[in-house]
Amino acid sequence: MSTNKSKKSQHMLTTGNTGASTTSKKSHGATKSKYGASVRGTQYGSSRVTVLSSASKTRSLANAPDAGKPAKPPVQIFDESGNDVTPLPLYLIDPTLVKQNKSNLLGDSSGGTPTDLMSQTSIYNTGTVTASAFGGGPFTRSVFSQSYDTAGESMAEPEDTDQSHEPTSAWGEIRRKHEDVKEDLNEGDLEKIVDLQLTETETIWLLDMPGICVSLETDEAATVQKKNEAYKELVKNKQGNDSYAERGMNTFNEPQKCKLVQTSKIGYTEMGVNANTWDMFDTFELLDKANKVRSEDDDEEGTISRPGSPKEGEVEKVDEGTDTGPGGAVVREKSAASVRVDSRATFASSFAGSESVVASRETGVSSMPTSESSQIDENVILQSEKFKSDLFIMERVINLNTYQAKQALYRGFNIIKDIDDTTVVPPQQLVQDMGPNFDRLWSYTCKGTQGRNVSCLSWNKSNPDLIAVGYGQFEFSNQKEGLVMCWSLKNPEFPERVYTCKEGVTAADFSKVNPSLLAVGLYDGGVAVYNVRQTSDEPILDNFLAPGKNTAPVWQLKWIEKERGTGDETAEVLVSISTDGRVCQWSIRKGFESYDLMRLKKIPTRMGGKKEKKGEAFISRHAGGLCFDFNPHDSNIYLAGTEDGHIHKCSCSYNEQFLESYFGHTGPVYKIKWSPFAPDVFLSCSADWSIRLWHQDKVRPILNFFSSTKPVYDIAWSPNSSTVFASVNEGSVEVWDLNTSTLDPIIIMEPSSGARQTSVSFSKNSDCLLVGDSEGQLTVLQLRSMAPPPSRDKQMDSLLKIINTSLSSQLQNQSASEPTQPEREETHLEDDLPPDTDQNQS
Amino acid sequence: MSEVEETIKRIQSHKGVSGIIIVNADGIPIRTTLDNSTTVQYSGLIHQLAAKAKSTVRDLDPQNDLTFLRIRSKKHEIMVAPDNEYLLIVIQNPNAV
Repeated sequence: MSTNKSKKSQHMLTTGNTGASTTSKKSHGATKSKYGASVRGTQYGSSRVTVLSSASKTRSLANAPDAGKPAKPPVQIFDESGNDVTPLPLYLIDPTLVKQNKSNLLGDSSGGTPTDLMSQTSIYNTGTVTASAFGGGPFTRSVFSQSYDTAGESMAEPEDTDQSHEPTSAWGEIRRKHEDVKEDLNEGDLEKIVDLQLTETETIWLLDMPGICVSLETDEAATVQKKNEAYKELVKNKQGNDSYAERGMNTFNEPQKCKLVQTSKIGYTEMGVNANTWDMFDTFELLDKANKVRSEDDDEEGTISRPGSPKEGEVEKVDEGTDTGPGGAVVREKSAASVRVDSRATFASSFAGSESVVASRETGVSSMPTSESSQIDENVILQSEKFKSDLFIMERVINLNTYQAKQALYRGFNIIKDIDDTTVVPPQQLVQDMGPNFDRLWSYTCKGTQGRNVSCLSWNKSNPDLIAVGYGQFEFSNQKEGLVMCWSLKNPEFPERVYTCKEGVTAADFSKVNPSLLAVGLYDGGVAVYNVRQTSDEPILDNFLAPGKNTAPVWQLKWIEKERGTGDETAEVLVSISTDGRVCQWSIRKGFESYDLMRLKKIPTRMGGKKEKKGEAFISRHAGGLCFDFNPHDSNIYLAGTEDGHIHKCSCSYNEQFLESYFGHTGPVYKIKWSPFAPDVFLSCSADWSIRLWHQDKVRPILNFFSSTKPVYDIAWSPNSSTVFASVNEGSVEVWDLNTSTLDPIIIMEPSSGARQTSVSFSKNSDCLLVGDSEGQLTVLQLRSMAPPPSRDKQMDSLLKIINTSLSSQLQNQSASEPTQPEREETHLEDDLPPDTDQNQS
Repeated sequence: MSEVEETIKRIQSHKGVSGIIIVNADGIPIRTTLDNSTTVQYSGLIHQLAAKAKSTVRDLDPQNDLTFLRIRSKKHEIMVAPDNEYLLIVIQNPNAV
C-alpha cells in the first residue's frame, strides 16, 4: 500500500530526524550513504528521490484520495498519562499539495512530500549540501534544483522560524494559493504560449572548502596531520567497501546536426616577384619620400593614398611556392612595406625585375586593352620631359657615330681606325709633304640655312663649342628675314637654337659676363638681345622703339666691359656702329638706354703728297661706320672704320674728336682687328682688295697685302700664333703667315661651291677655322701642318720683328727713291724691342 | 609635341639610321619606322636586355642607374635609351655611305 510505504518512509524520516544520520535507508535498498554530520540533508534528498523513483504514478495518484485531511502519523506514542505525544511531522501531508508538488517536480512526487518538505527545510537550514554523489536516479539533479526552487518560494516567509507548526499552517495557505493558480491554468490556458525567461542566477556556492596550509611548527599541525591521516585511511578503505558505490552520471547528449556552407569559388592567382637589392633600395627611398611628404602635408593626403595601397598589398601577398626562403622573406617584407605606401611605383619596379614569364603574361593581358588607352600612353610618353632629353641625347649619339672621326680631329685626338670598316682607303701622299693645308671636317648647314648669307659669327664665351651665326644679306637688295642660329660642335646637323628676326642679321655677339645673352644687330638698325637658354623667338630686349636706335644697318656689335667711374666694378655695355655714322653705347640696366659715343664725321682725306681738297661738298656730315674694335688692353680706346676708307682712333671720353686717323684704304673698311699679341698692332681689310697691317702710332699702314682682286670681307687673327691670320675674300679663304711670307698667303682655298665666303673665325679650343659663305654653309676647316707657333713670350716680338724689318725695308725703298726726305717717317718703334732686332740705319 | 616629332624625323633621316622604335613600359611598341615583325622582335629582345642591364648596374650600386645602352655589332649599332616608362631604340649603321 502506498500509504504504508509513505508511513514507512515517514518513520524513516523521523528516525532520521533525530540525528542518526548514518543509518542506511532500507527502503531504498540501493543507496547507502555515509556522510558527515553536515550532510544530513542529502540523505533526505536522496531518500525522497528514491521514493519518488520507485513510486509509480499510480501510487502517487493513490495518494490523492487521501485528500482532505492531514494524514495522521501511523505511529503514535503515548506517554504515561495517555497524552498523545507523538511527535508531529513538520508538515502535514495534503494530497492536493502533493498534486501541486507533482506539477513542480519532474518525477512523481507522491509519497515523497513529507520527506520532500523535510528535506527542503533541512536543506535550507543547513544551507550547504553537496551536490555530488546523490546516488539517485537520473532525475536527481534536476529534481534537486527544482526542489530548491520550490523550497525557496515556499519557504519565503517562514525562513527564520524553526521547524514548527507555523510552517504547516503557512503551507496550508500557500497550498491554497497554489491550488488557485493551478486551477486557473487548467481552465484553458494550456494552449497559450507562455514566454519563459531563463536567466542565469548568481553563482551558487554549494561547497567551498579552500585548502589550508599549516606550517609544521604550529600547534594545529598535529591535528591537521591526524586529520589528513584519517582521510587517507578513509580513501584507502573506500576501495571495495560496501558502503561506497560508484555511480556515473550522464549529461545530455544533444543530437548533432551538420551544417554546410558553400562559398563561391575562391580564385587563386600566383604572382612571382624578384626583389633585387635596388628594388629594396627604391622602396626605402619611396618610403622616405612619402614620410617627408606626409610630415609636410596634411594627414588627409596620407589617408587618401592608403585606400589604394591595401588593395595592391593584397595582390602582392600571395603565397609563392617558387620563392626560396630568403626571397620569400624579402617579398613579404616588401609587401609589408607596400601596404604602408602606395605601391604603384614598387610594383612597376618589381615588374621590371620580374621573370620574363610574368612579363609575357602581362603583355598578353595588356595587349587586350583598347587602342585608346595605348594612345594616351603614347602621348604621355612622347611629351614627357625625360623623353625629350633622351631624344636629344640619342640624336647626339647618332651624330657622334657619323662624325666621330671628324670630331676627334677637331679636338686634336688621334683617330683609331674602326676595325670593322671595310672601305678601302687609297694610299694618300704623306700629309707632311703637302705643306700647310686645310682639312675639311664638316660644315654646319641645314635646310633652313639654304640660300642665306652668313653675315657674322660669334663664339660663346663660356662654352667654346657653341657658336652663334647670323644670317643676313649684305646688300640692300635681296633682303630676307634674318636668322640667328646657335650651333654646337656635338650636332653638326641641326642647330641648337633658331631665332628668326624680321630683318636680316648683320651682327651678333655673345656676352662675356652673362654667357647666355646674345646680342643681334639687324639690317634696319635694331638691336635685340636674346637669352639662348630659352628657345622662344622673342628677344628679351630690343631697341626697336628706342629713340636712340640706329637708323642704318648695324654692322658690328660688341659687348664691352667698361670700367665705371668708381673703377671698382666693370659693367658690360653693348656698343654698336652703323652706317648712320654713330657709335652707340647701349646699357641694359633699365630698358635699353643708348648713349652716343661718337659721331663719325667726314674728314677730308689727306693723302701723302697731294694737296688737301678743301671745300668738298659733303652729302652728309657723317661717315658711315662699318666696323670697330676696342683695344684689348684699354677699353677706352677703340678704332672705327668708315665707308670712306678712314680708320679713326677714338676714345670714349671724347665724343667729338678723334684721337687719330689712319689713312690708307681706298674703299670701305669692312673689318678692323687688333692683334691679340701685340698691343699696338691692328689689321684691317676693305673692299679695295687689300688687307693692311697698322701700328697705332703710325698713320700709314706698315704692310699691305694684296692677294686677289676681290673685296675682302673678313679677317681674323689666329689665337695661337701672332703672325698668322686668316682672311676671306669673295672667292677664297686665305691663311697668311707673316713669318713665312708677307706677300702671299700660305694657304689659299677656293671652295668648290662657288659661293662667296663672307666670314671667318678661328676656333678657340682647336686649330680649326670656321668659314661662312653666302649659301648658308658654315664650314669647319682644320689647319694642318702649320708652322709651330712661337712661344708665348716671343709672340709679340716675332710680330714686331716682322714689322720692323718691313719698315726698314720700306725706309730703304723710300730713301732709295726719295733721298731728300730721309727722316720723313719715324721708323723706330718705341716698344721694348729685343736687342737682336735689326735697327734702322738711317 | 612638334619639337619631338621633328627630332624623330631628323633622327630617322640621319645618315645610316635604319630605324627608330619607341616601346612603352609593357614592351609594346608605340612608334616604329620598321616593319611589324622586326619591330616586335627588337622590342621584345631589347626590353629584356635593357632590364637585365639595368638590374646589373643597380645591383652593383643601388644609387646608380642605367642611362644609355649601346650594342655594337658587325653590321650595325643598336642604341637604347631606357627609362621606367619607355624605351627608345635606334638602329644605325655608322659605316653606311
